[in-house]
Amino acid sequence: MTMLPLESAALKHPLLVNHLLALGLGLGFGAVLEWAGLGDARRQAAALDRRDFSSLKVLLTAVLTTCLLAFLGSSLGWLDLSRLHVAPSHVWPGVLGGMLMGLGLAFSGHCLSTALAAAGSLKLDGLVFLLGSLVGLWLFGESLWSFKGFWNGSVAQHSSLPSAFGWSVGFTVVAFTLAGLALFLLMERQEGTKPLASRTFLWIGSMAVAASLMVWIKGQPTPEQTWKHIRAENQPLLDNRSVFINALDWAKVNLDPKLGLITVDLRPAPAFEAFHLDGARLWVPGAEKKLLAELENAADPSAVVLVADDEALAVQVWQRLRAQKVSNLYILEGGMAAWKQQFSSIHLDHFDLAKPSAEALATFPPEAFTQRLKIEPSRAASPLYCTAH
Amino acid sequence: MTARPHLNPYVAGVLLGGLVFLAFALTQNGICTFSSVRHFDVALLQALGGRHPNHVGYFAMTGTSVLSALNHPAISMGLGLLGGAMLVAWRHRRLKLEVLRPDAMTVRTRLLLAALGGALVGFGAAMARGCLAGQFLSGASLLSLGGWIVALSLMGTAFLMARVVRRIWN
Repeated sequence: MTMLPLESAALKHPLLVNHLLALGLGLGFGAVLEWAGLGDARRQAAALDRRDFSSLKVLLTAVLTTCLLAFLGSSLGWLDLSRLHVAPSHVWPGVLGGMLMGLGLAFSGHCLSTALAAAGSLKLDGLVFLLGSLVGLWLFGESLWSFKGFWNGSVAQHSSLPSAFGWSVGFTVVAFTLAGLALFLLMERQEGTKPLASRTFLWIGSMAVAASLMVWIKGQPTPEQTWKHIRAENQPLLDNRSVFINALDWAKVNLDPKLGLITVDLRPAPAFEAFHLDGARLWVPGAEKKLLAELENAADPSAVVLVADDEALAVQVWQRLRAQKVSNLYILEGGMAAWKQQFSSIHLDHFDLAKPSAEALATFPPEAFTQRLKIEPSRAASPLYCTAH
Repeated sequence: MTARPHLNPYVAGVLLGGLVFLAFALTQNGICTFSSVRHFDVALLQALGGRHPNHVGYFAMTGTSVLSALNHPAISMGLGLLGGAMLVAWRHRRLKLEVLRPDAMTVRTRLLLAALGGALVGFGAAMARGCLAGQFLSGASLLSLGGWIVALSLMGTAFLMARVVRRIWN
């Protein structure tokens, strides 16, 4: 069973636990930053001036370490990456924000974390930097109305590097590790040292390469492997049929323009061509990847309804998509046969069987609707810290 | 008494990376200092700004009162960061009220640059939806495209400013 990340929401006092965890993590973060000398702005400036790359080495090593631990943990089935929160990718606000922070770093030698560390060791430049950042933040908040469209726009089509480049996760990790090590060698050379003569560097470098190769060779869990981990929690939804909806539920949600509904038809192409529900898409090779990307980048959650005459096939695809963290996932009970049976009694002018109207739905008693189709926010999208999105 | 030497950067990086991983494993979130600063900022605005902050969407969504802005784990993380740095600085004989600056730079100039840099970073971090810790340490380590965009933009700009940096700091 996948153990990590922990679900603090399942504990008795989640907010208190989160405060204590945050305090502990902050203590460690501040301690390491100060111990590494990152609270000294002169070291940041020396890095930018290409004289002393210590601060960059710390940052890059940290990113590599987290990357390798996370993806190795995922490969071994210990960590469910899809439940980790990562800030959404808005391209141009990210570029502009990065440029402004780069300018700020060049002038002051600080970023927010190092300034807090500096303030902790009673360095007034760190404290004044933080006061300046409060003003900058305030100005942003007051002026956001004038560029809100820009700030909320340019959502990246791909949220991760591997999907953007079309690489596997493992290959990306190996490439990143090797690029990082090459950068370290360059930095050491610039500083006039011989990194390959350093035992520490050799040790850490070798372990990094070994870990990245393991991530590549082992690969990330397949949907089938992931299903084994999540089966205990999700199989009951199939067994008690709470994810099976009837035709009326679908028709009601389809009429509501405020609700997102994606209908996936698993039947053979000729059957789909002969008749399919309003807005349904045929399940063809490549459709799964496209669907997952669409759901990942969607601003609001949607319900996904699987339509099939073969229930065993529908269940199989449901399990596969559920293992890939598709939420609000349902199966149309009885497939097309049940659909046609449901509306066989309707005798209205201009009745569209693929898209029953509100008038048609009104002919059914309220108890005929199971009300099972609900659209809820994704469990993974619960940011704890960076909440301004 | 002389200060103790700094930690080997690679060892420090491994410790930091382990900490960020721990943050993900225990809280589902990485580490983000920007959020600490934002919550404190909004708490300050709530204390000083009367009803105005609640009419500004960006502030209101962070907290609609001093207490609600402060009662967030991000504040605890910020306090922990301050405390951890203070503890280690004391232990390593670096806890001293001073302004760290190049010899040729006056204290006034240094503090002005710090304030200017802080304002730019505060605005930029809000624009980018996270600081170096949030977007690079946390986001980029999970291969987030957004994290890498912010990090490369930040580093690229900072390095392009090398000449200016040299003039300021040397």
